[in-house]
Amino acid sequence: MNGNSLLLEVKDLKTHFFLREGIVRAVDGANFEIGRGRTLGIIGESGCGKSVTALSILRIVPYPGRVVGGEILFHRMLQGNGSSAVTQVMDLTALDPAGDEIRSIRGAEIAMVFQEPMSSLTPVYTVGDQIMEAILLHQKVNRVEARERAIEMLDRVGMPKPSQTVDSYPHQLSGGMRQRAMIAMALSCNPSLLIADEPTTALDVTTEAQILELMGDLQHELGMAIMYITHNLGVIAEMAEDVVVMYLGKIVERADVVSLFHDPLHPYTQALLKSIPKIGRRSRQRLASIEGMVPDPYLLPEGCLFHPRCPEYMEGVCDQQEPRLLEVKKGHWASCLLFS
Amino acid sequence: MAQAGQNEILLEVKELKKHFPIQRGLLRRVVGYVRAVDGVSLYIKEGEPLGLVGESGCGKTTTGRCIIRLIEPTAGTVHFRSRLLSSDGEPQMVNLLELGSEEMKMVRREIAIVFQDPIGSLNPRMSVGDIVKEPLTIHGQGKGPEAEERVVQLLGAVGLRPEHIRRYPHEFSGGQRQRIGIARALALNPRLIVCDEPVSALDVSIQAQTLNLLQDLQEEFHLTYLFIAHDLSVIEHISDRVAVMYVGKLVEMAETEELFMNPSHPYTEALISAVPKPDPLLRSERIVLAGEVADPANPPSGCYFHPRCKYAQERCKIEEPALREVSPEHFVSCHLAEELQLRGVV
Repeated sequence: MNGNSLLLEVKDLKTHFFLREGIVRAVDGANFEIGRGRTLGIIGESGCGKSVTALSILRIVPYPGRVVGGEILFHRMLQGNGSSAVTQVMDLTALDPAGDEIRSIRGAEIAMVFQEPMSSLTPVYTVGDQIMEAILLHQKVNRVEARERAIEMLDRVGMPKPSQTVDSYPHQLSGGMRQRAMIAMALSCNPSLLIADEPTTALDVTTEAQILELMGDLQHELGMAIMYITHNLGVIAEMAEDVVVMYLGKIVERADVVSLFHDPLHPYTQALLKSIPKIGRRSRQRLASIEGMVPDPYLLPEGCLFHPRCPEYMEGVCDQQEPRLLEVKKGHWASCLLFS
Repeated sequence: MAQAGQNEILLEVKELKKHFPIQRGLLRRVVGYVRAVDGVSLYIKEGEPLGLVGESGCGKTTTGRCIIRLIEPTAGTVHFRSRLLSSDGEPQMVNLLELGSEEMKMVRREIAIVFQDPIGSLNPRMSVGDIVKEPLTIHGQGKGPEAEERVVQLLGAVGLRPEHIRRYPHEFSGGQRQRIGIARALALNPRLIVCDEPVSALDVSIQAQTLNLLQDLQEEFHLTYLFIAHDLSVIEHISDRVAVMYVGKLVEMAETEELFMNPSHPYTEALISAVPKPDPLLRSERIVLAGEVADPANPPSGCYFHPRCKYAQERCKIEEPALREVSPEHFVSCHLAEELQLRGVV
């Protein structure tokens, strides 16, 4: 595991949806990178474009959405490990979304765990069949070997009695077990990047704790990088090393996890952190809530997208100029006119 | 928040049970029961928000619905201090489960409910004005300019504007829809509101707004809440006292601070420790419970929590613990409550 080498660079990514009512700029100029073996958290409220960013990386943005600009550079490991490794840089946005090349990466080198384990597993095949599908597609093995590998993966993700569960259907499993099966499927081809889109949002706290611990352990064991997408600040604080905060398709702040939680720069991040009730700090006080709501994607405000809700709003500045993501402190980026 | 009569008990639930039959085969024979709620006893004092917390399937929603008889309980009693059902104007304790439909309709003016799903609980074919007015109509107060005025006033109380009256639910965001649901619950000046996961479907910033609104309304109208949620940090924020459920049973009930600082049931301890803390410097050792929540159709012997409990002893497998008061107002159902030194919030 070489912590410094890059795995994925997203440069000025733009994914827009072309609807009859207008263009929705779901992702509008996202810049970030993920190092090999690192954990990146992407945080934001619903509709901020965090899931679409993930779908753009895998090139599975649903119609009428399209990646319209930017680059996604994937540093593909061709052979060997460590310093002797040869890497090839590929721009994923240049690939045909249905072509062979992206299909050899999707599910093998970049895998994804979705939020809803019930609707992302098909109900008509056993979990074993579904895990084997990924293995047979990407590895040169026969069905018997693939089945063995599926059982081994189920065992690895802590599924009780893996040689029996391999033949069960998703509805026979509990939510936590389904999510374990999803993780087993995603990890079956040893990906170098695992994208986890709200992996524990549908789960109970005690199950969530189990799944988070499992993902942390597997990351240690297998050395993959993880991109956690969530709206839960607690999950990010526990799991991520670097954090990206998104608001309306744009990245508003980027920093390491400690700086982000203890020295947030962007007013949106500050407000977000203040608006969550924290366990153990009970006060009768009201929560500091963010005024207003996320604006209509067809009627975005001028200037800084956050200015109508921002407590630090500067008249004549924020409603006219568009902020850029700037490195305010070392390794700590913010997109706010307070810093320019 | 010290108000007169705060110590009066407004609602007292005793040994509440709801067993759903499991039917199989052509003749729909009953082959077993899901013990969704299995002997829950709790009380809520006037003006107090009581939090009811537990994981999915633990019976917290069923408990809430049994209290206002949206679901008919199998057994138990639910005593409510009713004003409208008393003959002399003094509030009087009545057992809701013994009331006839006319009397129950009266009591429903005093007890309202806010549902979890702000989409599913609002009729898409009714305008917001009609939705909020419906309780008034049902109780014969829905005619004339006063009713219209009341609707405007209710919408104002929850932060919506008068012109929203003619709009339909789909035109609103999740947070606003939840406000509509809250306005409807307030329509008949209730004293108790059962809030069933009112913020779990909302985004972080909207969740904070809604929690603030609920707190403001509580102070303004001297409301009492039964606040059902699975999120411990939300529960801690809003409740004066907290009750914890596991597989249809109450395992612990205490004042909020006492429960979080000084939990006495191993399940409460594990729940508190499992909550991801929003501070990267506090990455503490989580207690990760092994296994899964027990099946309420086929619960384990003895204490339902024993297969997952790291402190379990022989006795826990055989003997079912009763809910008992270990210190004033702190109720626990664990054999070892006195011996264990459990970790609360750090």
